[in-house]
Amino acid sequence: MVPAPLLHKLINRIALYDDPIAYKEIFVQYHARLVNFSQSITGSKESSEEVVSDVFLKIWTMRANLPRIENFHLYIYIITKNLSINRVLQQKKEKVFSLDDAVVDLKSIYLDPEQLLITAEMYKKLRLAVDGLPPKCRLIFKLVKEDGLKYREVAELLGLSLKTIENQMTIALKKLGQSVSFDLSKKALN
Amino acid sequence: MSENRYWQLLAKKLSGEASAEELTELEKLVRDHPELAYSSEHLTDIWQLQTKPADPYDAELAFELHLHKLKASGAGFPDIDPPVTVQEPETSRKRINRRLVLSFALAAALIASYAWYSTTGGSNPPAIARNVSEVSTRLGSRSRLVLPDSTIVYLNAGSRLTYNEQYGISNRATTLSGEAFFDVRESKIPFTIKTASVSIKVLGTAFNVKSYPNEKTTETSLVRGKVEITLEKRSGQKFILRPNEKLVVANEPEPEGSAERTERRSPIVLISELTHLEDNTIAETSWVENKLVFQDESFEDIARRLERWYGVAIRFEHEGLKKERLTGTFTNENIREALAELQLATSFQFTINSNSITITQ
Repeated sequence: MVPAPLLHKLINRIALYDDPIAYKEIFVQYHARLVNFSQSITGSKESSEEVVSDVFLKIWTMRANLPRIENFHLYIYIITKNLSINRVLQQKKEKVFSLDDAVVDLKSIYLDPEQLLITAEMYKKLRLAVDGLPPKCRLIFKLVKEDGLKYREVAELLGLSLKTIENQMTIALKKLGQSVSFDLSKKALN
Repeated sequence: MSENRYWQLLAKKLSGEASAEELTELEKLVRDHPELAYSSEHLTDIWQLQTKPADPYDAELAFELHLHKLKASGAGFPDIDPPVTVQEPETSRKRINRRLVLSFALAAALIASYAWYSTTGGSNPPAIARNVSEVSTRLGSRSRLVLPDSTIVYLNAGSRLTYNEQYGISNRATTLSGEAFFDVRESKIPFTIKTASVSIKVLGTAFNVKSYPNEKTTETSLVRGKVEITLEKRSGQKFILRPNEKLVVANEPEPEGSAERTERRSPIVLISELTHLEDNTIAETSWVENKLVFQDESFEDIARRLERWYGVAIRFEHEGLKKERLTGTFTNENIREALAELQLATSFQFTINSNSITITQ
């Protein structure tokens, strides 16, 4: 995640000086996570790569107005969402896109024996719990955990109420928490 | 207790959304229900797991593709901003210099971000006055650049070279952190390089300087010509190197506390011959030809070079392995292949997790 003061500086460099290096820096910092987010909507890596390129094209064409955007981090996710949905609607010729169709891959949950003091077996349960979360819930969890968005930002991005975000986060934590505490009870019995 | 309340508070705490009251409430819940502590700890660990960093190369590649689109859109994407800005020249001689400086500026810019295409569009980047130009390479990448006086510099991974706007006009002063090979153009203006521990002065020559902040020594290897090296931290003691010699200076740690202590840590200096390999390449400068060569070096030192070369982080699980001494040459191998080749020489296991590598027995 780009620290806010640095992001602010980079945006000013783009807006005031057309600085291509600052532009590239933002591209490199956001590219992977935006492709990932877009992919949860389009379901295709290729489409998402194109969407993200369009997002940055837009960022460049509107660069003079960038400093006026209050929350760039949220803003770039919103453009990505809109362009991704447009793309799905074009391709599938459907009228609406539902969050329940999101395909979300949580990239930050993996077995790292260095950082996670859990057994491979417990990890399997954790992974099952992650995969078992409903798509919308998983998407919200991912946006908060991996993309560093606040609850209210996720609410705005997805057009949901703050209460829904809170509830979905509670469900996610409960499911994951239960998957890792199950082992304890078993161990305690042994 | 409402169990849901616990999960709700924990979620808020991890997301940084919890108020002070909520944090206190959560603490109390966990205190009253010790059985919750276990899952709470695990979830905290899980929450702190970061997404594995994306391969920076992928982003570079994506940016290249993106530039095609940007160009095609006619959005007027500027040429790279020249890192050097020269004051308006008056005399014709200066004008020539300016051209040279600008052409270098382009070269330097290409190097500073190698994936850039220069657009042919007419938009002019705004001139931002900068007195010092800096060229740097990321870990895992190397660059070649030509300075305004036609001096050629190869910059190894994770290195930084700076010079000022008067370079080639009134001075040829550079500073270096990292490793570079210089082929210095002959000129009456002395060419100087300052590193953290030595200063090098030359008139026309080819040599290699290795001065990474995280290495124990600074090495100057001379291929041809003559250089004079001054040890900054040893009251200006001077050494003159002849071709095929290298000077190794132990890097001094930052002085801490008493002067007496720093006195004892004055640099240890060693002059030795360059290492010639069977195929006539010189080990010390082989990286210029995209070869990673090591001759009877400890695994620990090799790991540090692999880290820079491939832009990875290497961790040893067993201290003993660090001391293993190895010899080898890599040219086109990727990190996995390189490690696999090292496995032939000494027995160890490795796991690659994105950009971090763990070496185990």
